[in-house]
Amino acid sequence: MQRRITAPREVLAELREDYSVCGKCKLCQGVMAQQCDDPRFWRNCPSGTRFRYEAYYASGKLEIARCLDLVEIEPDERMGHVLYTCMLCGSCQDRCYPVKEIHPLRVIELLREKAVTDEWAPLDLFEEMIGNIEKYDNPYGVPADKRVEWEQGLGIKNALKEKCEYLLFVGDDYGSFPSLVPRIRAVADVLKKGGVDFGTLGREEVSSGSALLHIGDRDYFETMALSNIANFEKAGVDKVITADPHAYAVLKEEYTIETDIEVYHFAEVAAGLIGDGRIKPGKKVKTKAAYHDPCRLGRRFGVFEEPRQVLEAIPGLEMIEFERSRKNSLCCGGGGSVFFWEPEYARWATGERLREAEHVGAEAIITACPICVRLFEDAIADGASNIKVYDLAEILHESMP
Amino acid sequence: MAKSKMRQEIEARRVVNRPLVMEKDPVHNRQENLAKALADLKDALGEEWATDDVSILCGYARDQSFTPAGYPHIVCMPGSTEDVQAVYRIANEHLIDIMPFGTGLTTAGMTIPVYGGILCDLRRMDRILEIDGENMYAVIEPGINYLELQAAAQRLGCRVLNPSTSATAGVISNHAFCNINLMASKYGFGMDNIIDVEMVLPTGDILKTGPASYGAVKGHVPGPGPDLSTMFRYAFGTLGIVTRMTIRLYPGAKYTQEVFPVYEKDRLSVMADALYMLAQDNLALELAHLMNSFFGIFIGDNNREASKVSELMPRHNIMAVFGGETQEEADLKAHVTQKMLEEHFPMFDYMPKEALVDMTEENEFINLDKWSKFFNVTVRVMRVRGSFMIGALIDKLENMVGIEKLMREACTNQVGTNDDPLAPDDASTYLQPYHMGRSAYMEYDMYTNQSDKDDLIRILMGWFRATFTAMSKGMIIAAGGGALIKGLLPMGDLMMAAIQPNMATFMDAFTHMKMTLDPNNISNRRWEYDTQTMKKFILF
Repeated sequence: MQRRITAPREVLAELREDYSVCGKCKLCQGVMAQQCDDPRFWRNCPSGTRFRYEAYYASGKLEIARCLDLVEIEPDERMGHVLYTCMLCGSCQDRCYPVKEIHPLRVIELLREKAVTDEWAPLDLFEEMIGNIEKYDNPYGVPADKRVEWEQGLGIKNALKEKCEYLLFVGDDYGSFPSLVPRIRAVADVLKKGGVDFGTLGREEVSSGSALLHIGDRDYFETMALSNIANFEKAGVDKVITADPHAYAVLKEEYTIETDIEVYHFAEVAAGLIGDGRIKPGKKVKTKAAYHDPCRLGRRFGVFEEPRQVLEAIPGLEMIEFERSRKNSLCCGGGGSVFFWEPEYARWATGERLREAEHVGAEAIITACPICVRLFEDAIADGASNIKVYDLAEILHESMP
Repeated sequence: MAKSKMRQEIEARRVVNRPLVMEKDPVHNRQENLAKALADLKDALGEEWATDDVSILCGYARDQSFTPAGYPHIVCMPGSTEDVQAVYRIANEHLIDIMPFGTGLTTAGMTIPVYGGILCDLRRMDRILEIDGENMYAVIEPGINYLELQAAAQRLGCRVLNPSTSATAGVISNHAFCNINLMASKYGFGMDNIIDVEMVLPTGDILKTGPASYGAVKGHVPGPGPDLSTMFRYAFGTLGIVTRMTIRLYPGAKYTQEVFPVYEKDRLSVMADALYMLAQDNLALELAHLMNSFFGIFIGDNNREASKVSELMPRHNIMAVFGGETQEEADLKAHVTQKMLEEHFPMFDYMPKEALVDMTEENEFINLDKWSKFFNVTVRVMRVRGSFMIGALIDKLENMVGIEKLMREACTNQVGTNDDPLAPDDASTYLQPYHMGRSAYMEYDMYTNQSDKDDLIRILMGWFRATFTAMSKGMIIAAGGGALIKGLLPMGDLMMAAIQPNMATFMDAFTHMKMTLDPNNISNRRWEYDTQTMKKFILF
């Protein structure tokens, strides 16, 4: 497929002032003291908390960027580990930017792009994922025929064949894992019950490219993005709904540079449907649950209220908050494409979040991201906790008559 | 000859190369010994906790000061006192320097390894080993920061003295250095609140100080016998590494009330008198004087908002916080104090707390209630985008008043410009009555854009001018680094002796103590034993 550029390239050197003025104040390592009620949970940088050396915090990576720029050091194998254990959760930037106007997350993202461009990125670690995308247009190696099986019996329109108001963009995960199939079916059913006119791209939907952008392979990401954009244009849709925050992020930040689309997360649509009275959760769901803010939905785009509005409408549901909630939310371990190559470390991060859920007394975790759901469930299956995990759509669907 | 393109580019980017070789033909840190030391460290601490990977080393080469980058050769992370002993033993065996690193939040280049060697990052030692709310003390390891300890103390109805640094700063390293309290200076600074320490000396031996070390109970009263706990304050790791420290806690207040006296005129002497009265009265739990500019920094969450707050505030502000078992008690203390001030200082106005809340409501990260609870992490250190230099003075309150304008002038004329919207002269002047008396602490901080070389020169000139202005008036530089800059400047020791007569003797005594405790001169090596002088410029 011909490679084109969808977004103007930003290079690391453009952020020289950002990485030159970091004084390692440690602000990026935890939540704001004013917002933290229990010191046990003040740390919020997964890689720094796990690997401890300064380099694993954002401040250390800013220093790497500075030293590379100054030609003080040259990339080595460890630099790959340092850079690619970051989960790109953005907690560092959320702490640092309001105070110092530095963009640590952006520097790390561009550092990864530089690593790929300069050919020192450890892409061999992602060989399987990249190979899967090349072969199946899906990072998990699930063929298109298999990925659309979830649609069976739901009568969902094919947007390339029938006109529809909204396009439901499924994303990489929902169709790829059997455990997530009931969740995406719940998404579709809620939309249907709410009277939303939507369709999917069916077999023609390819990976959003999010996983590729995470590892810094912008060229390949753009290849995937353009394929989807071509289908959006063919289908004539200008409103896209997705329940996958990773797809949501690239659709909203990258695809919109190339095409004129409005992008909504399922939580935003569902909150609107409830607000308009088009759907009414009526059945009681009796559990005490904490909502886990996915990094790409909450911290990145500020979608904090809509999922909570949906959950507040569900009778019987007792909602509590994590110690680190909303902007302070801890990554579930699913960020930055880390789980593709360091599953044990990703599992450690998931375990940290599960322990926090237990600490606040939650019987269940509700989240609005298929990767979060999958990682939580995998860790629970391994005996990390007895907590139940719900997708937002799943629990909403359960409460609908 | 025309410069090559690469050279031009390198010069434009101010490449300094990787500053890993610090000395010609060094006795310490020899290449062949470094490899052996690394292998031994990995054996002792575990493969994961010692490395010479440059990606890891570079994270320790700079801090918030403008001190030039200094790379360690090796970084290690001990997890226990025994590990620290092992690190020192290995360093002695192979003659490698050790630079202790608490949490690394430094503004003065204090953890930048001057000659390389092993940087000993202590953040794996992050336990509160004991916390006693009844007897009000806590035993902690070096990786514990103020936020963790403050919250743990508060659960027991106690509190830790609020530091004039961020919540993520290490308690042990700050207490051992000075830990200037922003507010509750009546209890002394952090360094006055050390009950005892456990140290690993540079030889690898363990020294435990305080009465508990020889079988008595762990108490706040030192002795009987000489108390060694205070000998290691301000030693910057030159005499060993503190692996445990017992520090005092203070009773927390269930309820609080604040009084904010403000004064528009630029007359520091009036504020000094008011501060003295409040300190002597001793009703206030926390007490601070903040010029409008510093108030902005104190409460604003970034430069822009700090400037906005500064513009709104009157020139001089006092913040007094009162505590009580009931709200009525706290209110009564505040009321009595305000009446007293109204009587003696009729020129003051009083800002209601609501005004402060209104003023800061747009600031996303300022929640005054939690700010009071945990103190504001955005204070100074974190706010600064570039570097800054701290000047700190301790003297009588009236002397501070006398010199304050001279100091501001010295800073302003030399520092001149930077990107900070706050004028440099206003950047950070505040007074604190110390120990309820007329001893006071004053700072003159200078901020700079770290990436602007000219700005760095200005800040340096300004700082030295202000410092010499202070010293010429007989002031004591609070940072107390004098002993460590022995022999730095030609005739410097004589100059220092002229300004501060006892300093040369003091420096000699310190040198002898260092030579006794650290025979191989490996722990934060600052000067050579043969010449007893520094070879390199090192701040502090």
